[in-house]
Amino acid sequence: MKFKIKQFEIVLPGMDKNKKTIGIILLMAVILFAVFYWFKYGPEKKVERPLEKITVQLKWQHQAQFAGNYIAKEKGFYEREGLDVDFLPYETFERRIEDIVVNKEVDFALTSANRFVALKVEEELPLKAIAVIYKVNPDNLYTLRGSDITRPEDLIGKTIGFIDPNPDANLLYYAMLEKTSISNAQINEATASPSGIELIKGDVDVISGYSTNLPFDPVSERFLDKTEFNEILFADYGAKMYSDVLVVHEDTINNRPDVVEKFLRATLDGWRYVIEHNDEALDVTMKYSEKPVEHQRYMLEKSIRLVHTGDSPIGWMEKKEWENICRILLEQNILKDKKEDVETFYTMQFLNKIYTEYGEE
Amino acid sequence: MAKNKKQKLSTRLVVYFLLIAVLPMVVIGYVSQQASQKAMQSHLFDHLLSVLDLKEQEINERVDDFAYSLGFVEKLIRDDVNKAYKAYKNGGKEYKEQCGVIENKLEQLLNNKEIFFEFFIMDVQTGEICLSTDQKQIGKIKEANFYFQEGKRDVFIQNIYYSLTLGEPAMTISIPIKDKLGNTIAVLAGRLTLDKLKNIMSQRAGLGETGETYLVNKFNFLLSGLIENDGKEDEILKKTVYSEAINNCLKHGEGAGLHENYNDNLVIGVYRWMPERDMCILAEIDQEEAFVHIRKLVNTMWVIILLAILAAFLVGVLLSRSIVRPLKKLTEGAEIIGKGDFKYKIRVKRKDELGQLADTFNKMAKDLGKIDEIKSNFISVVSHQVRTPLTSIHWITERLLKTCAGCTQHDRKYLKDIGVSVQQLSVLVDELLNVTKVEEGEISFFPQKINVTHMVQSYFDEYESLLAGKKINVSLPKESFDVVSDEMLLKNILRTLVSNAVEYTLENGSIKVSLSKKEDTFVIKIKDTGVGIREKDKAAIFDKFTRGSNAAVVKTGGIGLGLYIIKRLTELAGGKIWFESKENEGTTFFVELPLKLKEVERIK
Repeated sequence: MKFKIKQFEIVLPGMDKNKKTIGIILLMAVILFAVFYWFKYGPEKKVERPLEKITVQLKWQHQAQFAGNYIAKEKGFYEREGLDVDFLPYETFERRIEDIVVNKEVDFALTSANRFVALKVEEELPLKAIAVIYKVNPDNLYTLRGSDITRPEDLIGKTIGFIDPNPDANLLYYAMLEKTSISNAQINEATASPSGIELIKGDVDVISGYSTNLPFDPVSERFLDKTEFNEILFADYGAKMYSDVLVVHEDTINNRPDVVEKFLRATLDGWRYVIEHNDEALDVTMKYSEKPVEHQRYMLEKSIRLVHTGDSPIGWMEKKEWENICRILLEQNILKDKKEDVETFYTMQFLNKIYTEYGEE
Repeated sequence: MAKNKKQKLSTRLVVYFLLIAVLPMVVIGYVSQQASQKAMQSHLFDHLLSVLDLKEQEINERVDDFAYSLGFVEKLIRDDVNKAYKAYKNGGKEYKEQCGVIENKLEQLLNNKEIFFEFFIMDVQTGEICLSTDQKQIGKIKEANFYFQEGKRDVFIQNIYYSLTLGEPAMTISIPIKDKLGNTIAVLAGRLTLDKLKNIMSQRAGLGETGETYLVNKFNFLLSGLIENDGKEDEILKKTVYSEAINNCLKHGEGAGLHENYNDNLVIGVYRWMPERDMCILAEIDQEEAFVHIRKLVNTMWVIILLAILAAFLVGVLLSRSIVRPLKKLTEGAEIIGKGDFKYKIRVKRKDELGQLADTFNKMAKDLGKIDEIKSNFISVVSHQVRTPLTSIHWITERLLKTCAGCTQHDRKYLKDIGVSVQQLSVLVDELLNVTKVEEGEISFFPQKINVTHMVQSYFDEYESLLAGKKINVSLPKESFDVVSDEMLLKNILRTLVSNAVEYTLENGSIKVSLSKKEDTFVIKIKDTGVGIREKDKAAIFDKFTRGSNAAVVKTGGIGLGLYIIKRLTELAGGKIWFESKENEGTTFFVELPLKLKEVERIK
């Protein structure tokens, strides 16, 4: 039983058993850090859910008027909301857009505000507006620059060619005459072809139009330059009202309010994006539209001013504007009853919710 | 056990040292960082607020200037407008003439469009523009516009909005034109050039690289250029921005804080709702830039703390080693001394308490050595003195037994008992003497030819009657086995092992002795079926004054010296002794010795 002297043993703390403990602590720290890192920066857990198919009836053919919708699809705003959205251009004039929504062939539609109000009152359609896209109606009159016809009073004694089909133009035209105290008896009315050739040829002095369109010269087959024409915007002369409104079946609001909210949020995001990125919006529009790019550029520029007025959020609706539509319709004898409850025409529940959430982002 | 304790102590020492050294450092570092960050923050808040105040004041002053300018224009044309109004009412020809006069005046007042780029007058009834410096605007109906409705009553400054007519952001100021009775007869409006306002916002003096101030309207649209676009006017009313600060501000709030801005950058910022302007003004600077000095300070601090930890660790290790090492030496020394090596010296070259402890230890060992020596001498002397009379008693007793004719049977028995007792005493004294001898190394070996078989036989013969009484079966080697060894050595070994075997083997047991040769050694193997050695006793069985804890059951005598002595003897002879044992089954002792023992003469 000799005792062996370990002369050269070096005792350092943290060795042997303690080494193990420290190792475990270090390992745990590393694991904790990794777990933390994974949760913070790891790939987001994508819940695979099938996209819900949504169809939108557009108010017209594919063009920059719907750039917000195209962008919302192109930039994945709809997908983000779990929606797969298709757009149907309006090409058949035999059916009313409102009926297509009432029949539930589509989920959403863009339609003219005054026509919507008229139908809503007359036929009590189960539809509601959820947002307004064009806050100002772009209906106008075009004249050639040389004609010196620049304001309503200049129309007296002239001939206006109304392009078919555009029922809104007549309504707003008469509303403007009413406001400017000009009698329609002093002005000659005619019809014009969609090409507008009558104006170029001089058959008519004035032609009805849409402010977002660049007038086309079918003779020289080119668009007119901005310096070659004048426009009289009805909205400038007292006939100002909402134009494109987004409508939806009341059943959809009641049964699938989440879908309505998601669709609207993505659409509004689309328009916000269009306002900030004009060039990209034009590129995306050209994927849909078959119209010439210079025409679409002009339309986009004009559309943005109608969508984004700077005095209210995009899509926002005001009660007094709906009352304004009723007033004009009453003046034009389209509505009979003076006491229409405008609040049945639209709902603010989705806009309110979306904009409250934006603020809380 | 001892090893673990030592490690724990040193680890504990280092940990305590680290805690003492580092904790306060970290706490002080953290506190001072927080304090300096707070100081920096409040300084930045003050700075940003003063920038905000300045901008707000500038904007308000500028807008007031605009309103004042329009008021001035109104005064200049008031009479003319009144005249025109009268003429219009009367359907007079002068109306158009008068309008021309007003138009000319307004044209001149535009003054290169430095402040206003358009003046226009609206009919108080219809809102129709009846006169404008921009001919295209005449006839348009502004009935629904705020600047018409509000302007009928008092000076009205419309916030920046997106003008459909102009196709760009605009700001319009309106003011009523009154007749002498104080009735409003028309509304004068001026459209502002926004350049002046933009200039205010685009000046970023004193805000560093990333600092900026910007305006947001209540619909979250930007009203001024952002730094990222170098203040380009394109931004105005085009971009919507959202952040916590903007959100709070739009709720007509005011505040300051660290937050994410519209670009999700971390900024330090202040914000304030401007009630007169109906917009929000914000001033923000990137935290990265704002806290760059603090960050540097913190980095330096961490380096210092890390160095301090390292230093504390090293010092802690050295300190713990300086304490633990002598302790370890003391422990080792104590163990060696405990084994009986009183000459061992603990070497701790220190003059502190630990050195003193080691010295005391060494002194204690020396004293113990002396006491042990005295004891040994005492035993030696006593043994010698006792052995001589014992030999005489033994001899006389033997004589008496042989010669005493008149002794009765009883007397003979007494004499025999005396003989046995004396014999036992002699063995005891021999053992004590041997202990002294082996301990002092006073053992000499005189090798001679010895027949081990005979020697084994002779020891068993001594126990013949005892073996017969216990009915123990003994098996001994038959062939003669010659070795060259020391007689005393073999006698001691065999006497001890044989007597142990015989005495610890119970009735009806067996004992087997075998002898075998190896290359230059031989092995004596004595196997018994005795009580065996308990596991706990095995380690100490060869120690001095040690007996198996179950030995007393069988044998009352013995003081535990036999095995100690033969082990020392065997080792002195260059051999070894070991055993195999299981309690209640028996024990086998092995003794291995050289075949030819070398002669050794060692006499002190």
